Amino acid sequence: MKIKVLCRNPKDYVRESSRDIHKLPRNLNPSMHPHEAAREYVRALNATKLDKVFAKPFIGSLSGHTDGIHCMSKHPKKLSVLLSGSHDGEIKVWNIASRRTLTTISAHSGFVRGLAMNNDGSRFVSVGDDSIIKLWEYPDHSLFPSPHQPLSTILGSTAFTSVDHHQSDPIFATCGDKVEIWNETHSEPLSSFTWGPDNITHVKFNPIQTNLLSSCAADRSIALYDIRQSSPLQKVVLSLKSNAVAWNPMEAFHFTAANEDGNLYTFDMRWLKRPKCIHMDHVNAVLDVDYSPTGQEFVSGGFDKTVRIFREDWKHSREVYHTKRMQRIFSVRWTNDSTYVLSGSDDMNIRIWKARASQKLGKLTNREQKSLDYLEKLKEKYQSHPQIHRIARHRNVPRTIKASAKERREILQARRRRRQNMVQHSAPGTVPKKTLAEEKVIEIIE
Amino acid sequence: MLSSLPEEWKETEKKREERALEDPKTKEKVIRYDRRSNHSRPKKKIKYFQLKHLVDKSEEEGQRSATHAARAELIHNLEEPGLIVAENSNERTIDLTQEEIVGQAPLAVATQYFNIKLNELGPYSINYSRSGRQLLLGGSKGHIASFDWRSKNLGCEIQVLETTRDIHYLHNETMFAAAQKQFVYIYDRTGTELHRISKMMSVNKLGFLPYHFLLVSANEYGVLSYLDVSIGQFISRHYTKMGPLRALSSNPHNGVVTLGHHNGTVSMWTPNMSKPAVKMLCHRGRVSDIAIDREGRYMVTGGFDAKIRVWDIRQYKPVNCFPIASPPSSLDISQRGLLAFGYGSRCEIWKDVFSQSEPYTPYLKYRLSGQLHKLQFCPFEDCLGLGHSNGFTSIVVPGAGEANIDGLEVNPYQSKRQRQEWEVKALLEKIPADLIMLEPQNLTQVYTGPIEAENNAQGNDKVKKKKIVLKMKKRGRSTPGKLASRKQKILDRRARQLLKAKLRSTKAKGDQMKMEDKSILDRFKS
Repeated sequence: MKIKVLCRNPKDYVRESSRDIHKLPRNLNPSMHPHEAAREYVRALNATKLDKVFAKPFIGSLSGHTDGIHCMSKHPKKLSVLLSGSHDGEIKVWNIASRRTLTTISAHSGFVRGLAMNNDGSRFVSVGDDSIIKLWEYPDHSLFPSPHQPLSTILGSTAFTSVDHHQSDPIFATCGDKVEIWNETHSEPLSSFTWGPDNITHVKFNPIQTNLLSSCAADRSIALYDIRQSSPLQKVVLSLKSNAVAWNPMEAFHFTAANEDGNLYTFDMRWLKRPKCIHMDHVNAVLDVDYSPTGQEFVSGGFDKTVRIFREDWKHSREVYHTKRMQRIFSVRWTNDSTYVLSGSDDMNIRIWKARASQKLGKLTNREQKSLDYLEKLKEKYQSHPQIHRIARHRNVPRTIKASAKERREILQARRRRRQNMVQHSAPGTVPKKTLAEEKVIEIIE
Repeated sequence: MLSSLPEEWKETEKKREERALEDPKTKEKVIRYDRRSNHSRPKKKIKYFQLKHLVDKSEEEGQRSATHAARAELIHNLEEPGLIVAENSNERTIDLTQEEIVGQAPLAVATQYFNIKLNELGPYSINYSRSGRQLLLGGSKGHIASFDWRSKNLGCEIQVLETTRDIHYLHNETMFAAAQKQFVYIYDRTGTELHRISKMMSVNKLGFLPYHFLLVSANEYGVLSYLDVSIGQFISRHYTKMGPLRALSSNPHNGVVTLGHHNGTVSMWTPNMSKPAVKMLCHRGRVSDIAIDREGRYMVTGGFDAKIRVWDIRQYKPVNCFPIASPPSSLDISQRGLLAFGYGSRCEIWKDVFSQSEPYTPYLKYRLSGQLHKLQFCPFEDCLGLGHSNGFTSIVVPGAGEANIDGLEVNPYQSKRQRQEWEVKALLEKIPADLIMLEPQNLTQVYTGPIEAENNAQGNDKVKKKKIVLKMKKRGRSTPGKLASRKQKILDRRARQLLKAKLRSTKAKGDQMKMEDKSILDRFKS
C-alpha cells in the first residue's frame, strides 16, 4: 500500500528573516475564491465612493490679467507654456508649472480676438479688434526681449475675430467678414473665401487633413473649406449659431461644434445630415471647446460658468467643474499631456483643473498603478449597477444650473410628448419621422 | 545570435499559448479556470461592429487569462495532495489502521493523530478555524477550550457552567461564539466574554458566513437569525414554523443557509426572503445533518431513515443514496470531496460519492472510544477531527485537504501583522447580506426574464409597492367613499396592466423561436 499524506514544511511558507518580504503562495482555482462576483462588486462600489472622496480637481489659477481672458493657445512643444489674450489687448505668456508670467505684451488696442502658435513653437500670430494681425517670435530660451516687438504687422480692413495656424506649413487663417489665408512672410492674403455677406466668428484647421479648414458664422452655419481650392466645400446650418469648432485629433473627419443653444454637436463631415451625437448638459451658450490629445474626450466652457468634460460618443458630460468666483468662460484648452484642463474666464483668471478629478498626480509605484488599473476595470465592469451608476454620476451643481437643467429637460420632454401626440392623432404617415438630431440641422448647402 | 536560439524561445506569447493548448492535460486545466461560460454569448449575430469588437476582445481575454492560470499551476502548486494507492488487488484501503498510515507517513504527520481524553464534560462539539490552525472544543457541560492543535498550545480554557450546544469561530481565530443554555455568547481568544447576544435564545446550531460577516443561528423554536458581527446588528430573522432546528449548514459557494427539519425536508434560506428559496423533501424521518461541498454543487444529507443521500443542488436532483447501519450523527465534506460521517462510535470516510457510479465501500473507517457527536475535516490538512463523549480524537485521512494555499484568501502561516491587515481588508470588502442569492453569478449577467418578476428572481421580496397618493379635492369630492372609489380605480388599472403584461409574456413564451431572434430590450416595449 502506497500512502502519501500532505505534509508542509513551514519554511516554504514563512519568510526567513524579518528583512525578507512575506511569501505569498497562490492558488488560482476558482473554488478557492467564492463569491467572486459579489466581492468584485463591493470593490467596484468602494472604488467609486473613493473616487468621490478624492475628487479635488482644482489645482490653481493663473492670475495677472487685468481684464477677462478671451483666447488661449498651447505651445506645441513645451507642456508648461501657455499664451493668453485678454479683453484689454494684452497677451501674457505663462509657465503653468511655476504658475508665473514669463512676459506680458501690450499687443492690441481693444480685444485680443485670437492667438495661434505655429507647429514648432517658434512664432505665434495674434489678431485683434483693432484690425491688426501681428506675428511674434517665441524665443527658444524662454527669456523674452523687452520691450517685445512683433516680427511683422499687417493692417486689415475690418476687425478680425479669430485666427488659427496650419499644422505644418507657415500658413495661417483669419476671419472677420471673410476667411483669409495668409503666408507668414507675405503681407497680402494668399486667398480669401466668402459665402454671402456675413460675419465669420471662428476658424479652425484640421490637425490631420491639414488643408481642411472649418469656420463658424453668424448666419448659424458651420462651413468647411479646402485651402487648395478657390471656393468653400460645404456648409451646414444649425438652428442657432455655433461659437467654436474643435477637430478630433485622432479621427480626421470628426469635429465638435459649441453652440449658442447650450448643446455641443459632434459631426462626421462625410455625413452632415445629422450630428453623430448631441452633447446636452450646458444650460447656456457654449463658447469654446477643445479636444483631449487622445481624441476620446473634449472639454467645453460657456456662459453658464461651468467647465464640462464630455466623452466624444456620450450624450451627457462625465464631469462638471465650477467655483463660486468663476465667471463666464471664453476659452478652454486641454493640455498636450492629456492630464490637465485650462479655463480662461471673464474674472481675469486662468484656472488649472485635473482632467480626471480624483487622479493622483506624480509618479506611482508599480503596485499602486496595478491596483488602480484593476479598480478601473472593475468600475467599468459594474458601471451599470444602479448604486454604482448613481454614485458615479452624481455631481453637486449651483442651484441656478440645477433649476435651468430641469427646465431644459422638461422642454425636451414636452417636445417629445407633442410629437407623440401629433403622430397619434394624425393619419398614419402624414407626420414625418424626425429625430431631435435631424431637427437640429436646418439645411446643408453644397 | 538570434538564429542560434532554440525555435521555442523565439515564439510569440500567443503562439506559445496555442501550443500549450494542444496538450490535452493543459486543456483540461484551462476548463477549470475558464469563467466565460458565465457570460454566454448571445446566439444572435452582433451587427454593431464596435460592440462586436468589444465582445470578441473580452472573449479573447477570458481565454488568455484561463490559459495563463492553467500554465501558472507549474509555479504556484508547491504541494501534491495526499493519496492511498493499493499496490495489488488484494489490498483494500478500508483495512488500513491509523497506526499503519502514520507509520508510513513523514514524522511530522504523527502529530495529526492524537486523542484528548475528556470523559467528564462531553460530548464535545468541535470547530476548526478557517485557516485550520486553531481548534475549538465545546463540551456540552460548559467546558470550552481553544488551542493550536498542532503544537497543543492552549489559547484559553474556560468553564461557562451551563449547557453549551454549539461553538463556532468567527472570521478568524481571535473570536468565537458559543450557543449556551439560554443565549449566544461571544468570547475572545483569551476566553474573555465580549458580548452576550440575548436576542439569540436557545440556539441549537451556529454557522458563520465569513465573507458577509454574518453569524447565523438556528434555535429550538424554529427561528433562523442573521447577525452582522462587524456592526452588531441583526440583519434578519426568519420564523421557519417548522419545529426545532437541529441541522444547519451554509453553502460556501453562495452563502445560502440550509436547514434540516423534523419532517425530512431541507430548506434553503437567504436573508432577504422570509420564505425559503428552496424546499425539498430529502428523507423519511428527521434530517440529522447536512453537508455541502465547497463548490456548491452537491449536498449530502443524513436522515433518521438511516440513509445518506447525495443531491445535485444546481438541479435539485438526487445523485446517490446508500443505507447505513444507523442514523448518522454528523456529516462533513472535505475540501477535496471526501465524505465523512459517523454513527454511534463508528466513523466512515467515503470517496467519490458525487459520481453516480456506486461507491459501496468506505475509503477508511475508524472506531471511537465514545459516542460521536460532531466531526469536521481540518481545512488544508489531511486530518479529520472527531468530537465525542469521551473527548476529542484527530485522525489522518490522506487526500482530504486542499494541498495549495492561497495567501490572499486564508493563510495558515500568516503573521500577526498580516492577520491584522487581512482583517481590515476583509471588512472593507464585506459583502452586503442582500447579495446572498442562489445564483451568485447573476450579479454579472443581464436579467432577461419578464420585468415584473425581476425582484423576485433576485431573491428580494422586500420591494415596496408604489404608494397611492390621492389628490384632495373640494366640494365633497374627497369624501371617504369617493376617495375609496378613486383608489380602487387606480388599483384596477394596475391589475389590468399586470394582466396585460402576463398575457404578453405567455404569448411570447408560446412563440419561443421568434423570441430568440429578438433583443432582450424588447421586453420594455409596450
